[in-house]
Amino acid sequence: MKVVVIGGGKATEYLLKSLNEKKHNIVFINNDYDYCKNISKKYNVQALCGDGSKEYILEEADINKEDIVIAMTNKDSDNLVICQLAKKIYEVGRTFAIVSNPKNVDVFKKLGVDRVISSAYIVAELIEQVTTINEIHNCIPIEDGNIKILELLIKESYYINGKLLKDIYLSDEAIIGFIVRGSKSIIPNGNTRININDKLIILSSSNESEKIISNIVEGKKSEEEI
Amino acid sequence: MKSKNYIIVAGCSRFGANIASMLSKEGKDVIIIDKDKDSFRKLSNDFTGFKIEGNAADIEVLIEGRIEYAGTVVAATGDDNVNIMISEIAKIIFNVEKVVSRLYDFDKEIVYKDFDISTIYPAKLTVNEFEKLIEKDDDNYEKEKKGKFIKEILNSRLKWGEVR
Repeated sequence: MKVVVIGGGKATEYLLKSLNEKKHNIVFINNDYDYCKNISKKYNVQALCGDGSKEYILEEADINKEDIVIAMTNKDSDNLVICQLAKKIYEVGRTFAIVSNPKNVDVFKKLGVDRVISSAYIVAELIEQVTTINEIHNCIPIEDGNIKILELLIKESYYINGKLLKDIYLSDEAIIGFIVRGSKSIIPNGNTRININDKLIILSSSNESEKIISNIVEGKKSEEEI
Repeated sequence: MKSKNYIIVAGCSRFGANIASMLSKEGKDVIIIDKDKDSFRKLSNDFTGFKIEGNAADIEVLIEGRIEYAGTVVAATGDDNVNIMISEIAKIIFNVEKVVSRLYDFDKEIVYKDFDISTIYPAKLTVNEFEKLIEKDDDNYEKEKKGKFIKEILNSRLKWGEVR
């Protein structure tokens, strides 16, 4: 399996570095010859100089069905065409596109690209959550933002501090998947006690996060109410 | 609510501007979109349609141009990939009846597979035209050759006549 990365810039380089560490077979495509040379030397990857939205360049990259194609050029339309060529000519199963215009996430999905990522969208979501809700340390939207992974640090004043998990109600659409305690990670069960400075990793549907926070901080509204 | 007479031309290239001017003259409702407002001067003076300054591959600009009512969308920007994106948005998302796209690169035709999108290939048209011209030249050349030959025969006959 090969990973074909088309694009350039900081995000691309970071990805190349991380893929390289995991020993993936990488082909990098960019239309600037010197940049290709530079990247090839720096990250020890196979670099191909040319326009990634041209069929003969993809041909040269020797793409197969089981490969992964990641289009992250700064032009959304180029990324669309790269993914579609990969899909329609080489029947690539997994195509990813990074878009700069967040509105294109929906557009690309309707046009058949498997995964579309908009950094602007993710960053905006994250900033909104972290700034508007004090208690949230971190928040990662997945499944197009329908599901969120929340990261919360337990403080002394919180209602659930010192309680057993089985005595706590968060929401019907949320689960505490992990508790990080110091350097230890605990997979919680009903008899796990929540301590101060624990970090909870919560998986929830996206519109439940405020309710969850209030249940954690102020305590559960009695179940009859719910 | 879709109207046959409502046409969006994306990209005010020579091609786009001429088509938009022509359709406008025919009395159609034309919207032309280009990201550079200077390019609108390529439109003829009697163009009566609307001009929108913006990136036509941005779905919001197309919505501003009321693409949901359009009967025809012409993708005429100078960039193949942008044309592909516009055409697919028009056809697949807004279900526009007639979508025409200009493509320079034959190899990209495959992305339109399964979609009902008409394509114009300037390169192909140029080649066809070139062939026609060459054929014509060849014909002329043949005719000239024949002409010369006939003249020579005539001349030789004349000479022969003189001798006789």
